[in-house]
Amino acid sequence: MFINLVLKSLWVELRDSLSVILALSVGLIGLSLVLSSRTAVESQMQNKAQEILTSDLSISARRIFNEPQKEEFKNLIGDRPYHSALSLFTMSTFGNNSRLTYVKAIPKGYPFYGNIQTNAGPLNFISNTNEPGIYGDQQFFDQLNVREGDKVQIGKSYFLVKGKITDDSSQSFRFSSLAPKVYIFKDHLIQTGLIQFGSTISETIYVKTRSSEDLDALQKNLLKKIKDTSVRIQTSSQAANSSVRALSYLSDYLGLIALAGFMLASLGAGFIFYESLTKQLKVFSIFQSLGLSRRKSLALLLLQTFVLAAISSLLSFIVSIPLFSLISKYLLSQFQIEVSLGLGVQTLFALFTLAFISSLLISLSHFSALLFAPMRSLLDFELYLQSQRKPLIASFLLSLAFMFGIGILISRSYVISGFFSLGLLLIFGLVGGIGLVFIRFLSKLPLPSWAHLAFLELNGRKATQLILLSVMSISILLLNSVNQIEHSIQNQINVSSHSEIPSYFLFDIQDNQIGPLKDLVNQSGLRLVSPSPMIRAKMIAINGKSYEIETSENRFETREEAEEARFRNRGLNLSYRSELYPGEKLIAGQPLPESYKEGTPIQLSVEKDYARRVKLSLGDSIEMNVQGLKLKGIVHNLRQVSWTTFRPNFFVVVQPGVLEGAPKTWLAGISRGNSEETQQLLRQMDKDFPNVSYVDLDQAISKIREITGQMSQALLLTAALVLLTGLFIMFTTARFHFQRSQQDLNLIRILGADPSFVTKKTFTEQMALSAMCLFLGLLGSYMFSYLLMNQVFDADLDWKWKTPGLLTLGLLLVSIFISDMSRRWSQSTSPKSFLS
Amino acid sequence: MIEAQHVVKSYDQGKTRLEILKDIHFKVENSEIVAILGPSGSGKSTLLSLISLLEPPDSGKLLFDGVDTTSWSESQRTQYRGSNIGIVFQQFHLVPYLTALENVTLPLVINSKAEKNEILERAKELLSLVGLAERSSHRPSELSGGEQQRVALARALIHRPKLLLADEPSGNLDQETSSEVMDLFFKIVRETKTTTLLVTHDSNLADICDRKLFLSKGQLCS
Repeated sequence: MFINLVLKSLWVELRDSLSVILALSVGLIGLSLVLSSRTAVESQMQNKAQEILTSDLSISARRIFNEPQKEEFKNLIGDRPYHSALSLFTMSTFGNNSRLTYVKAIPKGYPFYGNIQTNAGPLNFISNTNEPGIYGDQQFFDQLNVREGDKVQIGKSYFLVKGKITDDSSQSFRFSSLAPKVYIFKDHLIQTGLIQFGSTISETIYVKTRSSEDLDALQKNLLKKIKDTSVRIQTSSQAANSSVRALSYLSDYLGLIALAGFMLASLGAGFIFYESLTKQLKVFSIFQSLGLSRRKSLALLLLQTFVLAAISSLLSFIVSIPLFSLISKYLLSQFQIEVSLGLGVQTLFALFTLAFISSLLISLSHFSALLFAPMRSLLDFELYLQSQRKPLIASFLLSLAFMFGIGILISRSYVISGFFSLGLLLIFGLVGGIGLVFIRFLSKLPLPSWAHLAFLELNGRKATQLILLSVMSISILLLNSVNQIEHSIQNQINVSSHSEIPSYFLFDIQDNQIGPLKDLVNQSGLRLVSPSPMIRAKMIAINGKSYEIETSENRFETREEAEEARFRNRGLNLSYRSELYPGEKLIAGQPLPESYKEGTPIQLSVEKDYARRVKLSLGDSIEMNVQGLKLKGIVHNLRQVSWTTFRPNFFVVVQPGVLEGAPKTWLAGISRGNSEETQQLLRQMDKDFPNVSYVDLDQAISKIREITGQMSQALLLTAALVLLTGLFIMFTTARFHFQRSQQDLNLIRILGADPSFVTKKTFTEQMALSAMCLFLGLLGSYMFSYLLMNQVFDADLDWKWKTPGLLTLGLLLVSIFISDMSRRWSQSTSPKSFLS
Repeated sequence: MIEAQHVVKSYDQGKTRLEILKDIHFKVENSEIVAILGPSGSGKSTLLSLISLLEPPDSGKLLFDGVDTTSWSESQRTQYRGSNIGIVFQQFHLVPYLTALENVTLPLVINSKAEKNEILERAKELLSLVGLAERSSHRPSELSGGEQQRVALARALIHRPKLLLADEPSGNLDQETSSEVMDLFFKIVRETKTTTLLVTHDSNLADICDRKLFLSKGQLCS
């Protein structure tokens, strides 16, 4: 009999029931889809990372390991397959051409993962021969102007150019790895005579682990056992960190989206469910008056919650099946991610549990009302809200705790989940603290009667307004935050627009060559982009405190200390200029002066991330050693640099008039032109400036551009889905609000209000609500996004103004639509129903 | 004051059309208090909705002070109702989020008929008249049934209506409260000489009125 009643009530209140089911289903479908996609992206990240490192784990040092060390590593590695490779930067010579080249000396069978494809076949299948051979990348062929069959000198040996590398999955985007690259076999490196005392050669032992092995635990164990702090042990994901950064952002963002979407849908479903249950309290009071015990009323409500959760989870499950197939296809076509998104009975059970627990928490105050509240309060919503304050707060806090828990599961981060939950609390605080006070203030203003009545109504229904304002403000907070973060992440990963990027990047330009080179480039109809002098220096002290760290043997207790010492003792490249380059922005301080006045402090401009790392702020003094001369400067400004413009740039820039006389080389870019002009210029440069090296930026960037382009699409798509969900939630909440006002609207019509009065009152009310939600939601979202970008993504928030604009427009349209709908409803309902 | 001439009103109920009021013909003079009696389903509410100008009759004429209202637009009817008619409902129908004082001011606020201070003064005066001066800041949920109906009475009178319509005003009250409220009701309407139409089941209440009209199966009989 009970189930009959439940089904009947769901049927009669079909619109409400459908809204609850729809909102819950949207949340559940989104959650399962986004989480599954994220798992796929993560598996792709893992594969990509293995391809970049070419193994699961590496042990490396900027030197060749000695025999006892090799023996030690062999014992530690055990029966896991491994091999070692050597790498160095050295000059390659062909004819009159000499170029700095990155040489990687590999063993047979390299790499374990990925593919280094040559026109002679994959590198790991090529056998070593007695004659030294070389496989070079496109840059190598272009810059040395060699062909297959030519012989290139490296060190004391001549290598036969055996093939061209057509695809290198270990290629990551680092500027150092943009030099021409060649592979030789390890045996042939000894003949070059480059392995000698004083040479900088790195050795890396690549280890392939067992598939089920915990890499982090293995790394930890090795770190504990290998005492030499100069030995670096990396897992594939650490090694590939910067290269898979884009994918890692995507993964984090998907987690975030899943969380935001889930919270939005929960809020919406919660609100609608709450409202629809509240409507039914009257029915429950009738049942109770007819003799239904409080306990049985509770059972009835529980059954209703159960049925709604069951229908929602079943619907989500059914809809997810074709959607999962679509998403699989999308991931495969866009990201080449092969993934089988599985749906089983477990998923259905998980969805149901989630829906049921959320619904239970939402209806906690109703349970309390049915058990303890006087029957009269079931008939009057405001009375009900007043009598259920404590259960309502308990319900809110428990729901928040539940969301926090789910948030941790989704985002796998206490911090992200904590930020979200705090964001919700913040909004409730803001709504209670600002929203309601403001409404009260408005209701006291001498305004036209329709406006006065609108604010009186808003002020009179504080509890309703608290719920409504909170739901709408939180929706706006989540929507705007998701978009702000999406925009900021896009800015982090996206390569600048094509026209801003030089076509080639030049380095090793000598001081006396810069003028003639500029002339040559100009004659070719092209332009030298951002020619920048580069002066080697070393940082000695900051604010009088020594900056360098002594690096004597066994001085460091941890590898982090050793790493920090290496970072600090590494040289620092300086440049000088006063103007800002495209892609640069001053974020603190004033532009550098254009000339230097003798006797005044030297002014410096510091890149903001570098400043953060070495703890520099405006006004700090830096002492540097510039090729034997001490130079003291003051931090005059902090710059933000968009490195993806691929123009020469420097962490520290000195004001003009100080370093002009110092020995230096130059860096520059070549502007974009037609391919023929550029190639002709490069050929002429090879003749006139054979020492100048260059990198083809298009080739280097194309892969990144491809991945980030696809990612942008995915980010936009998910953000748009959240936006749609949010607008649906806002519309539904507003609809409920005005449904409840219908009786009052009819009354004021009877008391003499004409239709325009009703419209104006409704519109004012809706606009006031929307404006307040916008204000509170946007305020909260900017605070929240700023914190999240800084603390979680470790990047800056790049404000996007389009989203608040769209939200304002969207809310305006919703307001107009709701007001109009409200007027129509009120006109279609006869006030005659007020008569007995 | 009011004159109904051959008024007819029907409603569609499914495929059939039900004639609720059949050729209604009556006249109410100024300051007269008239009771309308009749069993459930006799058409009392429909008659009240026509007199309160909530809807127009299908045919016949409804004259207010000699002016025919049947061809008036909804906006004209609303305007007339807002200025000249006060209504007291059986269910009180007070706005739950407004205080007693704010509820009383509502008709004047809606119709912007006076200055704010003037409206407040008048509302306070009326609340005193109905004995609720001390309860002016209370919300309806904090008032008893009798008190709510007295607020409703004050609200119906604040704009000094020419015509007061009362729809079973004591129907939701117990006997003791009912007689208290109705004594007050009659005292005020007689003092203010307000033309009043009172729909009731209570023949004792009808007896206090100047005249009685009986409605049966949509037809009026004296």
